[in-house]
Amino acid sequence: MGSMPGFEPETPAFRGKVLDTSANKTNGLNRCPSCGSTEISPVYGTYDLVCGHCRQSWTGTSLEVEQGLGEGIHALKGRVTASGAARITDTSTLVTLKCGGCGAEVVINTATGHQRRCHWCRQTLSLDAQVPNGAVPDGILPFYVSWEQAVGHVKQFLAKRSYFASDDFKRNFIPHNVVGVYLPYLVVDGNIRARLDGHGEILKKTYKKLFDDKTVYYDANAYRVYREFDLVVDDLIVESSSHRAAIDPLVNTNNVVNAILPFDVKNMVAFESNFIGEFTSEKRDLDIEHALERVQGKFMTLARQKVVEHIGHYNRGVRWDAEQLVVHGTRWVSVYLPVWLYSHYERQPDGKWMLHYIAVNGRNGQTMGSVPFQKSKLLGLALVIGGSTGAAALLLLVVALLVAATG
Amino acid sequence: MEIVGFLVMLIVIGPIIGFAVYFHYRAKYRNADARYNFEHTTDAVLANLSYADDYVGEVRGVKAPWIAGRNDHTPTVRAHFVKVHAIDVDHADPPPLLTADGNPA
Repeated sequence: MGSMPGFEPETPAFRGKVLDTSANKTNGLNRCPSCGSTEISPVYGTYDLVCGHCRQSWTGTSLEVEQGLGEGIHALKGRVTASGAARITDTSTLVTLKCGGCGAEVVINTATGHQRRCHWCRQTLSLDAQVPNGAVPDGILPFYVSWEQAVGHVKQFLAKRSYFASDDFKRNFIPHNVVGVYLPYLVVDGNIRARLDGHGEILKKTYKKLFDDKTVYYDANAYRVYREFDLVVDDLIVESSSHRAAIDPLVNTNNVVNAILPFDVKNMVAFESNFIGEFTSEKRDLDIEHALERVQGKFMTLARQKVVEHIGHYNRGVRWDAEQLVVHGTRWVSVYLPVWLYSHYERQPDGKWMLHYIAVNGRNGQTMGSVPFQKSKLLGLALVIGGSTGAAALLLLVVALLVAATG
Repeated sequence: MEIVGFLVMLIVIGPIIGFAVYFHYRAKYRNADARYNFEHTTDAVLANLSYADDYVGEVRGVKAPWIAGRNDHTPTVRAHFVKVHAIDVDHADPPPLLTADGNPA
């Protein structure tokens, strides 16, 4: 038995608490603090916004600093939910805003955007405060990788996968269709206690038996093993769109969008729809309850991964038979993350359609994709290589047998 | 006759090489196994470790180089027994974790 020093004693802090990230925000006219214009757009590659009228610029508020998201994880008790991750109680995508300029009512379709011009006075109306349909997140991480860079990443990715790519894909590849989109995610912190029970073995000796010099035998000491420990998890990222969370490589290619994670979510800024600019966005449609099982499974995986360095002396490995987890506290924040996407529909032999994605992380350029390939061409190559190897071997075998027979 | 055995092996291996080529390129184009390796990139700090390594006996003359059912290097694959107490959900008091014998730890 043993123990090692760890965190300070826990101080009960949170239980069912809500972090209000939309305080001081309103829906409607979001004006330039200098001239009052609503013509505000993001400054590419920065955390800044700029007024299109007076050119005044200012920096978005760091959500991590403002809400203290990097602090107190080891003291989390119960569930802390940022207001942008609150339960979705309204499945409607349409939100009606009253224009603060002329009083007109303007409808915004939150399935695709957060801003719309008033059709009477031409001012831009913004959806910045949270509404109960999950459309407004707590934070946003602005694009850093430009469109030109993203296209370069996609081309580089395809250059290594062009020979067997389907003719339809090659013929219809248009770089202009690489589009930027903000996808919804939940960022989770966790205060966990984990216990793993199993068996481990340490090698004593290896040997071979008399008259059998091919088989190696092993003797080992066997142990019953347990490890119990606290685990503090900071910024685990999971999908909060039902489309993106449905990862099944047999029927879709969402796994490649998943593969460009992680993002530097420590740098996210408090959400303002002005940051979205010309990009589109996808609304969150999953609640925390929908993500719970996935997150708990990932906590368990993290526990298993972190304990590896504490079982290193079991050189014949460990078989974990039981895993237990106590989730003392979690903190959930919703965020928009920037992704460049190229998509292509492929008609499968069974008549169904498969949507192939090539995704580029909008912060660091990490790229992953699925490219439809010509099965006949690839099968042909496999047959040529496999067949020629076998045929050459057969020919040599015949020659060898003839040589042996003739003497 | 060793050369004959080698050539027979090559004849058998030919189709296997063909399959390997096909699946290699298929994987390269489709990336069906690509995923976010969160267990390597997520910031997670382990502390307050308690542990035991109880000797239970000797294993002699086995042919496998690893313990049967080894899973310490496949953390995404769940163990036979899994239990999660989500206090953040039900707001209950922490239940005791159990030992391998099913007793409170």
